[in-house]
Amino acid sequence: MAALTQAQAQRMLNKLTYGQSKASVTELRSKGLEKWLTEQLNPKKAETNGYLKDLSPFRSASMSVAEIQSNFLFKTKPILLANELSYLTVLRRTYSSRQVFEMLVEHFSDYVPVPLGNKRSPYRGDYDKSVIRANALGYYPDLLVAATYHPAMLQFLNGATNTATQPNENYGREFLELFTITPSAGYKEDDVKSAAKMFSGMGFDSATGASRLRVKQHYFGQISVFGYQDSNSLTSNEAVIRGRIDKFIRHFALLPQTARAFSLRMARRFVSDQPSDSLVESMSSEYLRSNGHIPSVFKVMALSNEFANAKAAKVKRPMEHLASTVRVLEVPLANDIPQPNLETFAAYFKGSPLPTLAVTLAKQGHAPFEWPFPNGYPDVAEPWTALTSQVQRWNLSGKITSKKLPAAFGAVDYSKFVSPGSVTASAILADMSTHLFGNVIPESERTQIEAILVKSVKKNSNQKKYVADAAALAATLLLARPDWNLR
Amino acid sequence: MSEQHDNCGCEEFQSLQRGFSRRGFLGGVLALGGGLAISVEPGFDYALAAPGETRADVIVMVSMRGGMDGLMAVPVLGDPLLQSYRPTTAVRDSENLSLDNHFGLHKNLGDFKKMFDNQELAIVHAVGTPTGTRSHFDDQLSIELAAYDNPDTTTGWQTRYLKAIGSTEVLTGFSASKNKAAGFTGSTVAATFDDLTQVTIDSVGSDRASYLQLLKEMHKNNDHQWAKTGLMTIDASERLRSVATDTSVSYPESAFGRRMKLLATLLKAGTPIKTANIDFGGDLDVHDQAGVAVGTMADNFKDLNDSVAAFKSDVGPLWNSTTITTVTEFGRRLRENASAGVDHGWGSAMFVMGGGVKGGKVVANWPGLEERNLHNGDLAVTLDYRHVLSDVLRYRGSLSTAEVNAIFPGFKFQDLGLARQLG
Repeated sequence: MAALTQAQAQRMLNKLTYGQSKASVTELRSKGLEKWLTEQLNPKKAETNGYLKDLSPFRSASMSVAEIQSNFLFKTKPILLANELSYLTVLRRTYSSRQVFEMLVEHFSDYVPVPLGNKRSPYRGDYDKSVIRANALGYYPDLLVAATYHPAMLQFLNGATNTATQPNENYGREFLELFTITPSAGYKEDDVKSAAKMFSGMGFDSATGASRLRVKQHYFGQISVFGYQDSNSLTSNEAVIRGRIDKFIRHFALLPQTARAFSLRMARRFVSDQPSDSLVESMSSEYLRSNGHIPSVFKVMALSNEFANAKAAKVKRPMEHLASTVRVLEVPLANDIPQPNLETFAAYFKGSPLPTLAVTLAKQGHAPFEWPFPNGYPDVAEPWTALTSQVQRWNLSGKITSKKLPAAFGAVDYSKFVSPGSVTASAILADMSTHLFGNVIPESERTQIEAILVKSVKKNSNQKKYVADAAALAATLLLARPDWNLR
Repeated sequence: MSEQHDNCGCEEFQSLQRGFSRRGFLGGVLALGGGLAISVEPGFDYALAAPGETRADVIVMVSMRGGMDGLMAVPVLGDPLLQSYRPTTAVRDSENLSLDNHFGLHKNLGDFKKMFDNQELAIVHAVGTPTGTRSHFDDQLSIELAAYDNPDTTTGWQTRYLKAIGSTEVLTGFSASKNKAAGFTGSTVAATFDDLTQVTIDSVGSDRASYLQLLKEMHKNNDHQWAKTGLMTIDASERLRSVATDTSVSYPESAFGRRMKLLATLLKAGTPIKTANIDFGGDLDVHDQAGVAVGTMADNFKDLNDSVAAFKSDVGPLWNSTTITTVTEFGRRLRENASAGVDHGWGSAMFVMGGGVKGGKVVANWPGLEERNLHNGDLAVTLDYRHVLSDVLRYRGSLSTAEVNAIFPGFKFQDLGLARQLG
């Protein structure tokens, strides 16, 4: 296989990660896509980013549900739990060295989502840890079994109030509609009702989050869902009932219709808004062959010709826009993440650079885990093509380069993206456009940008400062291009 | 005002103010809206009105996303069945407001009752989507694309409406949200924002004009939706800088209250909005603890009532050229569940409000609540939500019947008598 060009490597990284950086382009080009992917998809790959080596500032991240439930601070102010998870998530997505893993974690957080919310906050961090992160590089059927029993999901889709006599259909419906076979499979309303019966009687211990099966509230009798049959006869053995539920979930997780829906969703996330049938088919085959092994399906997708040739035409979501901007400009945080201030609730996150990042996303409607519905954040262009988001994205790069977000970001010497010999506006601009886009930009834009650079950055005796200032301004202007909003 | 459209022109419909009739399920919307020969491609060219000649109300679609129960909002009175299906969630007739002895209104919809009495509000009941998938996502998307016969459509109904009335100016479409509403899919004149403090482009470099010119240069001659919308954003953002935001009217501190306030602000400032998409934003998906008398749904109805009332008072005379229609993806299951909630259903109710509405009536082809009248345990849908929207567009958007049919491909306009001809 021929080595990747700089532009190819940039394009691939913009699709598979939260954005290219000089270092990641070099790494991908030297290793080649396949080797790089194998490393990224290794569940044991170590985190090397400095901000993520010590997670102790995120106090709830290392706590069990039982510890959280008996913690006075978190019990009183569950919003702190939600914010801690949100900030840690933004940090990981933006800076982690395990970029593909973090992309997959986000993908499955949208595929089998549980939004934040005060009632769910004691469990939501554990859902992230033990359902999503534990399985994103594993098997989808395992992820789905774990999600089904998890208190956060039982609370969100009312599994905990689904009983034999009065079923609550919410989880059963979304299980078929969103998490497995999807409506195009052609299931009927009776299938939804029967699925709800299969899941009836589930619950959890609020003190520990441990799942429970309330045998008396479980429906017994024939289950018939989309061709799946289980006589589901009366038993008082909890393990037997769990075994039936597990079998039911795994059956649906491995149906061809699920394989297809899973592959379509993954290809839409990473390749294009409208992936071809043939790509989806080849991913589906791999899904069925590997029993739903997520990295195997991901590899088939990423090594396909369709991926190699896919244009950057997906609109970046606000998270990708923010992270890719930070990554390409190598912007450091203003400071390391401080330990929480325990004196007052209001000061808990004092001195942390992360709230600013989360607010930037919230203003564009993309804070982590805040989409209120069980279908996850939209992943096609149209919903994100909003006036408010366009303006805020244009403004963001200027805020970063002109140091208007001092609580969040540290200083950058933008001259590092320019070759030593480039000292004119025109040369600085050319270097910066190659760094950002891998190619030269249209003449008409170049002329206008150059004119703005010449007018706005005055040459003086300090040539290094001139180059840095001109490079910063060039970056700001270039990042307003539509191309920077696409991946 | 012409009253020639008072009669709905088809036997199936009953205006219930003129006599209540309990009818069996008639086969639902397929009998009314389906099987039609007309099929118009969504991409066809509309006969465009000359610029500046657009004469149409501001058509506001309020999305009651999540599945609003129509029988909590507009209960049927004197029917013991409702109480028997919902022993803990139904409220007694005496706790509801009475509209016409057959239908009532939730007690927190007091201003809706006033508008009803004032003939500015009409209600359509047992109404919904033709598909009835009970899926939030499929049904919501379908409602906004409204092109059931064209599954590959790339435009929303509001995009097609703007084309039909010849609106090519930026800001003629508006969705008060952070994500662009599906109703505006394919539009490059619809602006999406929910906070006026977040829509101003910062200057970059020493000269704002040069920067804005560069932005335009970057976004022109580019077919991607991001770029095409970007050109609109640059223009719209500059216009929005001068919008005054003061009002003496107080709105509820809710997402819906803020959105309606923003819409009023924009209309009063003279922005050229011709159709808006407002997400109600409350929790209507009450699988658990519906709280009809006190709690979640009671709060939702109060929010709906108070926000619309504040909007009406805020916009003053503009109310006469505004028509608000609520729509939901489905109603709820008739029988309540174990947790005093109700699961996904089908038929629900819609409100049509505004100065040009022929209000004071509940229009329905009432299917009845007996078990045999239900559809999978849900209130049946006997009117298509497109009947309601198309009535509004026909008379308050001043469109011909053919133009309305083109906006809703595969659907044929039938007069429900909900709105007066603009004039």
